[in-house]
Amino acid sequence: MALRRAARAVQTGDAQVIACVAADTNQIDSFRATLGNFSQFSRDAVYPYGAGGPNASFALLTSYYMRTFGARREDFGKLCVAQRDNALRFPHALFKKSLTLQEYLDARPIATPLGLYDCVMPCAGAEGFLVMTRRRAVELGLAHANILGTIEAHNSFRADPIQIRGGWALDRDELFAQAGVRHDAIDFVQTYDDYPVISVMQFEDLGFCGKGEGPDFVRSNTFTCSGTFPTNTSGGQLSVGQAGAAGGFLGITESVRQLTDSTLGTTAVTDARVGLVSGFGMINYDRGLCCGAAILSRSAP
Amino acid sequence: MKRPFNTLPQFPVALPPSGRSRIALGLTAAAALGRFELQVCRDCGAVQYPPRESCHRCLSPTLDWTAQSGSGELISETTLFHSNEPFFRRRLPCRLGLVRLDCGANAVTFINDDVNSLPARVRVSSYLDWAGSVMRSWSGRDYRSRRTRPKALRSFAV
Repeated sequence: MALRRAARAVQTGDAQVIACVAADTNQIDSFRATLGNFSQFSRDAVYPYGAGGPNASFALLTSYYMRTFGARREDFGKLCVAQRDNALRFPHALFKKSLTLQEYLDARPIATPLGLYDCVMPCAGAEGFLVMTRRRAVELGLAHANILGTIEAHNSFRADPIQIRGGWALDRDELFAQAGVRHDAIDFVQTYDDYPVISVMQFEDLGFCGKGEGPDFVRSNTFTCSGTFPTNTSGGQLSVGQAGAAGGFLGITESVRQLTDSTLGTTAVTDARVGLVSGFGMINYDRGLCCGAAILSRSAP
Repeated sequence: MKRPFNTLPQFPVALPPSGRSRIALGLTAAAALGRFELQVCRDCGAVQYPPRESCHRCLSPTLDWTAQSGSGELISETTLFHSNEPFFRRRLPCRLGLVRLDCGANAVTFINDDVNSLPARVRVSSYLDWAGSVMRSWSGRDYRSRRTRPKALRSFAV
């Protein structure tokens, strides 16, 4: 979303170079204080109910999704395990230990059906990138990726009784039309992954599979850097950690690294030319308010 | 240590989250009188929850707190094993759910033990806790006899 707005400002000439920086600190009790004051709705109507924070909100979404579309814990576990495999290749990831599906399934329950490894870990950290015209990047001799298309939506599908889809579903055709590519041209995807169910919704709503086909899609791909449908190639927020708003930038910085041959560790996806990065956020009551996505490509040599 | 229900808590005591917006205190005011009320728009009739300053449908600021039946369908449920607040840590696990009220609003509520499998018809009511008011879903049978204070309520209510 920041990327999209910065690009618009550069495109219209309002700015020449925009630095997008997101960061957060993490002190004792700071996460609790954030949760208790997250939004008026959450303070009035969610937090007093056990103070589970986003774990509880996503548990309700995950539980509904599993009951409606037949997803199993193993499906979400597969994503978490694949991302941990990716994180082991990425030096900045906070999780350094491998994770097996059995360990995922045996983890202590947090808010059923979510266990420990379904929940993103708050941390301190920062992500940042620069947005400028392609010509300026070339003149400055900077390694860069091109923005092929972006979408952004707010308060979508608000008549749905519970969130089973996001605004990506409204605008995905527009996104791919802007980019001039088809789904099979996408070499990697960086989803917003604070909980695995929302990654599965992104696969569906961005058109990589149909609504409700997410579980089968997960079963038929590996999601690792060297496997099929590489996803969250740095380990994603689930294995790197979520540094406040910087969590939403994680996929962008990793995409830029992939497309400029500057990956850290061994996360490089072979012949990555086009990548899709997706964002989601702000569960102010019972569902996420906003979502966005961008398609980025390698700069022509 | 298990203490009798009616004795005062020993200090220091952890309280449930007490922060509420000014507008949300309307729910607490009704709960103090034993009523379950939600905001209803005087102009378009829309019922809304969580409470807010204007109508979610037509933006009218004239909203009346109006008695509701509280009937709805429990569409999703979780059992919470982890809480960020010390008050709840001794009271876990506890059941929460999302109720689609027949009036069209969604309510996150505690779920009483008598509510069985999903999706389930429930009645939602509100009551005072140590810090404000909260909502709880009951099955129809237990709702009618709620003044007998079901066991599960004791851990959360005054």
